[in-house]
Amino acid sequence: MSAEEGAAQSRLGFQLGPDHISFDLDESAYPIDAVYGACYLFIDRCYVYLTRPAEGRVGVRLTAQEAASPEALDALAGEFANELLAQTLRNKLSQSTSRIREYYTAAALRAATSAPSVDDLLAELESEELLEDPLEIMVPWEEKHGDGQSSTDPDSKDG
Amino acid sequence: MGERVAFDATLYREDALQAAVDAYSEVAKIEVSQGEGSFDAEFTDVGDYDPKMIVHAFANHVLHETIARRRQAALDTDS
Amino acid sequence: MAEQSVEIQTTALDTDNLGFFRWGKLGDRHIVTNDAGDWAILSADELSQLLSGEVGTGHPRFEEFQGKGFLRDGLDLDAFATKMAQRNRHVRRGPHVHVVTLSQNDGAANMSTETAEQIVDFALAGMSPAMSFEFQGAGGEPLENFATLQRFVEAAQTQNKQTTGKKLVFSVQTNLTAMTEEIAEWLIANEVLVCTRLDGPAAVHDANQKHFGGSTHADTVRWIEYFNRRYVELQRDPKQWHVEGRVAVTRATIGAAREVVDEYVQRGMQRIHLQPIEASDYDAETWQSIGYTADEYADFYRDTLDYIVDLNRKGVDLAEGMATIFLIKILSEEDPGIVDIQSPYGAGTSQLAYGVDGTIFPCDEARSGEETFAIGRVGEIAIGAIVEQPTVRAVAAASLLDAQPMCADCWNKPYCGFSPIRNFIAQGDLFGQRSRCFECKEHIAIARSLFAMLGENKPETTEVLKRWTVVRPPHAIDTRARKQAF
Repeated sequence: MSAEEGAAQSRLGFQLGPDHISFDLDESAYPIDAVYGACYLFIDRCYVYLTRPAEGRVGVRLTAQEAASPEALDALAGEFANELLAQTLRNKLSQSTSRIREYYTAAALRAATSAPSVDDLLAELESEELLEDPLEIMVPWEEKHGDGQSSTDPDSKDG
Repeated sequence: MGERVAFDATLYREDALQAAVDAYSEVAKIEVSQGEGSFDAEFTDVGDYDPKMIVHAFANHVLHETIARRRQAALDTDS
Repeated sequence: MAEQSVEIQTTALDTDNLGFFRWGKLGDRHIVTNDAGDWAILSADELSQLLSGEVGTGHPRFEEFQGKGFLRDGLDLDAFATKMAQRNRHVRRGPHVHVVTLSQNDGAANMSTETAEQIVDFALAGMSPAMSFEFQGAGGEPLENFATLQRFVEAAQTQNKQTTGKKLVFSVQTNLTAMTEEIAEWLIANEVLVCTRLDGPAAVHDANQKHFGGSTHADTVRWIEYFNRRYVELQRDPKQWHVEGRVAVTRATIGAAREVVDEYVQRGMQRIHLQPIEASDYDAETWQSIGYTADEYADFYRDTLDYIVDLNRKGVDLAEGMATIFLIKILSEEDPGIVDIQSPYGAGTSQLAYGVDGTIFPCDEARSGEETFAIGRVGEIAIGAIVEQPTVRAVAAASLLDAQPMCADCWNKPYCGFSPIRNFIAQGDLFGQRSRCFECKEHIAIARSLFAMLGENKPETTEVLKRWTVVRPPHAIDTRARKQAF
């Protein structure tokens, strides 16, 4: 099954054992980094073991760390399958935007780590109004950032 | 003869397995050998612990180390 | 073995037209965040539309998603990079939080005035134009060595006036057992802030006292009232001048959450700082009686935060400390620079700690692993060379969230951070297994609670949360003091 067949319902098969569930995954649909990413999220409550049943396929066995009913294991399978799908999407988005991320990360790093002069730092602090407020308590973010475009307004910025 | 578990060489890193062996050195004696396309770990001297539980927990640790090392290696390559 | 199958919702991905973002579940909705810290809460349908490229002009949220860089169309990479840099600019200022251990092991070792003067020389040579000095004990009470505290403050103020001209803030993390009126008046006159533990009403506080030591509830409250009264008499602004309190959360706290909050309201406290205790600090038997799981703590935190916010909506003025730290990150374009809630971790770059003998550690927690983390002694190394120390570099590298499985993909990444040193102490490994880390679950619980509230779009709730970012902690002071003796 591919993750790019469009928004739709699909089913993913697994095997139900007495204390574990097992998936046999096609690496062309679920890249290994996505499999690793999904598995990692479960290692605090499951024992996770990977096998290679065939070329291009990954076996994932999740064993419950505590006694689990068939219903609980079924729910676990659903959770893992959906996380696997999300990891696959994240993985693809990460790859498709890698150059964008490299650009802005490098630019941000240059700006954030460039050696400032003392005058630069003082100007920076002054802009944060530290000089009027040595404890930096009473500076409203609205004042620091100017106007109605204030970043504190989740409706205008983030919400 | 103790518990044995095989870690597929295309899915687990050898250095991750070694790191897990070091981390579990006070819990069990673990011998690693090269299998066919795998690294095989054999567990002895697990003391009062449940051997199956130790093998499971050890496998989790190897997986954690593998994933962490893969990510670090990818970042090192990028930089 | 039985063959089964599970239903999954597959979603198309429009890789050509999307910017980079992370997402995760938030109840029946989804939280989406990007590397610059912008965020949005989406319905399942909206997330599906975003991922599959169905958000174009005419979509009700097109402009919002475009402005936040979720779409590649119109993405201003330089402006985006500037926002990212803005969030990290405190890093280049160098160490600005200096944790000074005045007393150790119940007074078995105390810092000398000579060592204090050396630390002043060392610290004031740093680049940062604003510095915070926190006086602590390590298994001891800093006020037991009050003479050195006095000398430290006087030396720093004198030298600063003569040469460096920095903005200095002093605070003491005290259990109040050695407090006297004479000491109190000196601290007030010399503008040294007081932080202490108040675990709630007497029943909870005094029950905890057998584990943490320190003052009884009656004495703690008496001193809190003394300081707060004197600040008022001296006409100091109570928003700036008040005793900072923190709660060491035990199982007893979890069973009396509302009573603990009510105690803070009754005492007129401005902020309550909920601070989980750490299993690695206790033997198994003690942990069995006072400890809890990360999931239990997450439930407690969510319920308690709901209660605090509800009280604020009714006119009470009480902020929660951890929520405030996260809200500054979420609602502003800056970072409060809290050492262990940033990436990279600020040990050695934002914070330094000093042992009683002048040994330098990258942060206060590192004092627990003396041989492992010590990076030199004052008088033997320059502050400018600290960042080049292998220990500092190793810890910083281990703390990068981009290098961490799970963290790199997590929607909370722009607001989060962790302490590799705490990992080392708890798991014997700087990296640690993220999914097993208590602080990971704690940080997720805090952010999830806050985003759930912000997502309600109730103006009265949003106003409360915004107000908390206005009345924020004193510059660079982290009132949690995780590793100091209570």
